[in-house]
Amino acid sequence: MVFYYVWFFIALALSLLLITLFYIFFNKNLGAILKVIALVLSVFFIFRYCLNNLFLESFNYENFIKSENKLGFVFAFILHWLSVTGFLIITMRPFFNSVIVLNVLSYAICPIIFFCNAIFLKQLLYSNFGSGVFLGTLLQGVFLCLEVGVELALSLFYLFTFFKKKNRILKTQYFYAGIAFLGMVLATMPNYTLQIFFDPYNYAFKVDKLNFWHRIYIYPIFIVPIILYLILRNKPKQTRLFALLYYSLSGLILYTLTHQFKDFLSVSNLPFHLCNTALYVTPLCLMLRAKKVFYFTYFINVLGAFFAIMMPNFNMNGINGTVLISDVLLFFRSHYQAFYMPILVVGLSIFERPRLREFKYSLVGFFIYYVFVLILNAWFYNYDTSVDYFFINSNFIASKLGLWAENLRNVIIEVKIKGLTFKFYPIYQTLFFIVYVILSLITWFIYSICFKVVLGLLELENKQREYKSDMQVLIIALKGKNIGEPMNENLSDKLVLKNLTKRYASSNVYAVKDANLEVCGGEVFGFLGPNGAGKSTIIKSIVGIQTISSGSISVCGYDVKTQEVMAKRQIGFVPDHYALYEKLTAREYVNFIADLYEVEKSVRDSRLNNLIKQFEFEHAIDNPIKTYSHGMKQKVTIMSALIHEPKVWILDEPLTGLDPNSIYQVKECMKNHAKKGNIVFFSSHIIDVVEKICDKIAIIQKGQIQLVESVKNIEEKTTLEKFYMSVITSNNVEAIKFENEKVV
Amino acid sequence: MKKLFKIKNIYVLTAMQLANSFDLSSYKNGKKGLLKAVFSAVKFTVVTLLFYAFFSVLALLKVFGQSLIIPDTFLALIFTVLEVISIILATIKLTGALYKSQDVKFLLTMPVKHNAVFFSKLILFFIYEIIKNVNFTLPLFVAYGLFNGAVWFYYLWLLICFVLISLIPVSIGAVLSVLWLYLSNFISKYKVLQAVIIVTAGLLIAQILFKFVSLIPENINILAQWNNITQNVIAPFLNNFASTFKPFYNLTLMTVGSALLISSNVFNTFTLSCFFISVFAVVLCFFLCNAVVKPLFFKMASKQFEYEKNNAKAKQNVVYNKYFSPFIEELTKNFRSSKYIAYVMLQILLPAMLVFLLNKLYLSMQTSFNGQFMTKAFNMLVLLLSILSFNNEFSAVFSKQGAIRNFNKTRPISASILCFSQIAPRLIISVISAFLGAYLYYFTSKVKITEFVCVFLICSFTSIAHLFWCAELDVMNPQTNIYSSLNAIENNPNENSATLYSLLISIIFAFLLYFLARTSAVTVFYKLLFIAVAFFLVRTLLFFMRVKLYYKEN
Repeated sequence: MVFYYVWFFIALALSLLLITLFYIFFNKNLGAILKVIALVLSVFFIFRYCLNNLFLESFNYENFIKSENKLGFVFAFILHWLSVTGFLIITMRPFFNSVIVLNVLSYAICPIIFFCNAIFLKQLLYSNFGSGVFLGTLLQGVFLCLEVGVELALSLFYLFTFFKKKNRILKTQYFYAGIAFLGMVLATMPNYTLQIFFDPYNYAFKVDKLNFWHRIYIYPIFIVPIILYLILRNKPKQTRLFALLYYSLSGLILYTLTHQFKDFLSVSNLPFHLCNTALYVTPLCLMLRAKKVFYFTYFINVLGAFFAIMMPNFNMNGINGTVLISDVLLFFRSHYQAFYMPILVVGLSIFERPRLREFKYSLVGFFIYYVFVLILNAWFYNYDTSVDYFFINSNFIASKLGLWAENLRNVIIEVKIKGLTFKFYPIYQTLFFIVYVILSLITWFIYSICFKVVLGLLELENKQREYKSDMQVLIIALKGKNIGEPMNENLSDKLVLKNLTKRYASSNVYAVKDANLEVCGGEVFGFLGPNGAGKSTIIKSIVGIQTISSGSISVCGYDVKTQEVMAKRQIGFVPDHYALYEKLTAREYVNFIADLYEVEKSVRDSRLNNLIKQFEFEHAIDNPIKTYSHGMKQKVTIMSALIHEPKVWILDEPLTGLDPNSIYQVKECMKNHAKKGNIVFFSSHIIDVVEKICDKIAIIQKGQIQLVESVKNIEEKTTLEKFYMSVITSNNVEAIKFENEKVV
Repeated sequence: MKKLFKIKNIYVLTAMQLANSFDLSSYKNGKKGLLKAVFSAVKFTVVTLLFYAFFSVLALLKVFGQSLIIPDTFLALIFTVLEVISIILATIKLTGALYKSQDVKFLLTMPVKHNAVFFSKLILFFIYEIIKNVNFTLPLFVAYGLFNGAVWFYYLWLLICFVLISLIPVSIGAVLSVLWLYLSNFISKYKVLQAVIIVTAGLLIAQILFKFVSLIPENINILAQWNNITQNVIAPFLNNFASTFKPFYNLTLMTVGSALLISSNVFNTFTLSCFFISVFAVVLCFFLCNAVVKPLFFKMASKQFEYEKNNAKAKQNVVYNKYFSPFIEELTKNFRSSKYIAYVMLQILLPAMLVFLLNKLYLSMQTSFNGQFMTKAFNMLVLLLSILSFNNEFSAVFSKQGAIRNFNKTRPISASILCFSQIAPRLIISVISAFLGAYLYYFTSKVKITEFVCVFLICSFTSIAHLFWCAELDVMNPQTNIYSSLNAIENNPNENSATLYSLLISIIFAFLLYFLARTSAVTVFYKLLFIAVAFFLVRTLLFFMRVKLYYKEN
């Protein structure tokens, strides 16, 4: 034991010395040296890990039951477990400086772990190598001591820098670091954990052919990635990368738990099996940013892992395994990683979403891999009959598919080269390849759908956030008032547009840009402009048919965006073309509209009767709307717009298609409505009508309000028609504006 | 001269309408015309061969006993069904073509007599009937003749009879169209009467179908009892049918004669007398038409274009709560249309009838243990598919309103309530439909009451979820502009997606039911109910969220 402690102290001292030297004299390169130390630490780890881990197989139920010191047994097990967790944290720390959780753990948790390792070094050695380690001087024991020394040095350094810099870490960050640590510990849980405490050969827990326990193992492939995605998606990129790399490295370590160097001398243990490859490839791709190789796992490995989970092949001496056996746990753990790690990497934007080109490259890569594996299988079969990379050599898949597949496999071609027999199953293996490619195409399709769904949900989430933010702005602006009250009571009799801008989603052109307007009660306000000027866009924005890009609209003090319903209650709208439910009668239609505006019955009765008289509608009010002429339908629209006596009455080309009598009726209605102190906002092409009934006009052109002017002022100097034409055709609107006018 | 002028007018009117209905330009081009003719000949041959194959299969299965001949009663059965359908369709279509078609407005302004317009339309309809019979009825008789070894002049005689067969629906339809016009005009004035007639007709049809399907016996061994079935069921049924529908049976005999092979009994007293009676009947019909229609046609045709100025009674204003008002409006609008009422009947009854038929068929079989699970799965598939298929049109529920959709955005009410009110009627109908379907499943399969409740809830939740999904598609990808301008859309992408989703959902639930039932028959329905509820919650949430955030913008 002294021998091992010597090595521990040597490693500790050297590491501390090196770090101190660089900290004092070469501070700029400190980061680099820490990374080098971390890499050296990894080398120690790999070496001692791969030299001999067979003692770990003694962590089983039988030995636990037989053990005289059960507490010691469990303690040794936990020590071994946490040493892996601590190793990963401390090794990755220099490479992820900005990850707060990692920073916290490296000084808050790691020193505890490694102090424990140092103090209980004997137990740690025993838990890794058994009592044999004390009978001699095992090389792997030396590596473990070196490892512990370096780990402790690093963790002490991080603790020192924490106290030196007096970093402010919030309580919540400690909390999240604690939660993250639990997750990290869980990720490094050894495969033999369950078989220590429970009898692994209790066949009530058998995993077999989609039975209950098999399904329990299938559900995590959907649940775990969703949970990880939700936790990590809003975190900084470095944090996401760290989490995924940690998870993939822990998976690789657990996979190689019982592997030794000499195992790789056996051809059947070489990591050419697809899912084994994924365990090595994924962390390497993350570390080295190898996109092309990564996309291969994304398209090819994921599919293979899915089928492996559905059709597990962990046959234990001819008996199917139970959920407690380490090999079963390892099987599923490794295949989970191969399945959802690539999906998470793309989902969390570590690598971009692949395009069709990357998919084609992956297929090419798959072809190369397939041919390579075909040849290797045929070659290595001569040395080891259990060789079966990608299951194309054995009848494992064929036996699941049925007799027809097994019959296909009976077609064999043998090639003899230099005394070796290369056996191929041409039809079966070709079909296998084709089917796998087709399934990969289906996978591409499924990915596209999933992306579409996820992007849709993300967009929805952003919109919801925007909406909530708008509501909060409204609440602040209301200053304690009820949400049903106007935001600005000073504007209670006005229609105000402020810097209104509207751009349709797919266009670069502004339909309306920086429109400012103020219309007061008691006015008939005309809105003129050529076709496509933006009149309808402004009107649609006011009445709530479409959203605005920026700016604000206030209707009687209510903001159209955040107090939509209340703003609409102030408005009566007559569109340029009626849009009515023709199966209803006019009375029914107007009543349904009145219901929405909550017009009381007595008021409704008298108002509707007046409107009926005014528009000479007595004979038709109870007939279906489909029997009406154009003019009658337009009158129904006007009646429905006036039934609630709106403060703002907006009409968009209301006189189109009306006979002279009807035009007269509408004009009178407009004048009367304005006389009551209400706003009548009226868009038209007919300048004569505008001239006769409007008090003020605004002229809009190319999305911008050119000017606002009183009709009286205009008529003192010229006719409205000439004035309008001069504005529309002029390059200098300022010169046309009269004195004492409102500048827009 | 006058008569010649009249015939020429009829010819011109007919030719004009024919040119409008059919693209005859390809026939003017020699090559294209030849290709079209060849294609038509090939089509005729293929249909004939299909009928021949059909007869061969029936003979092989000895459906009509040991004889290899197809009896004339069987042919009469098919012919009767076809002719009855033709007469009904001719009546309805002629009513539309003669009195309600928009081109009548234009044709009546032409300097021709009104009955010239009338007869030109009848001739056009006769041509449609001939084309339809060439595609279907004629191949049937040709195949019959070939199969039974008819003599060569049978086929010549067939051509002559075929002209008469085509005239019969047209002549009867022309007479009945007058009655139907007055009847339909009368009924259309009284909405309540319309609704009662439709509901009664729907229930009657359902009852008849129910009775027919109930006749399927349980646990039948068709193979063992085949001779019994052919002798004691099929043959008497055909004979009874022939005697019940004697005129049509006689028409069949007139066409095919009363013998086969080398017998020359195609022409005998009976067939010739049938022929002349039929000709007389057709002539009588046309004479009646001319007598009745000549004075009335213009009045009947022009009446359709007058505005209905009913002297409606003055009504009171009715006030509803503002949140309830959109639902009342939607119901009022919808139930004013008789087509809508008929459609509602179909939505409620069809899934139930399909489930009933399916289960009666299953009951007539002996099913294995595995088969019982498959039965449940197929019930789920059929029920869901039939209910969800009616939801697909709601993927254009808002777009179909055209300009009204935008106008509705100006209403001072939450968009969620407005949108929900438009799908609420269908929501209620789908629940009723699910209840009826589940009840018939329970009634026929004699399952536990918990299973009935679970199936009802699963179908209800799934249907509502799918309905919200369809409406959501329209919110996110509205086709309003196309509907506003064209009033219809071909190949609506939303509808395609909705149809695909309905198919996938039905298959997934059926598959899950089968798969999970094999491992745990007790809890399977609870698991499916859980999935259905989760699906419902997700889709409801997404629908209302998307309406709140996107309805105004899109």
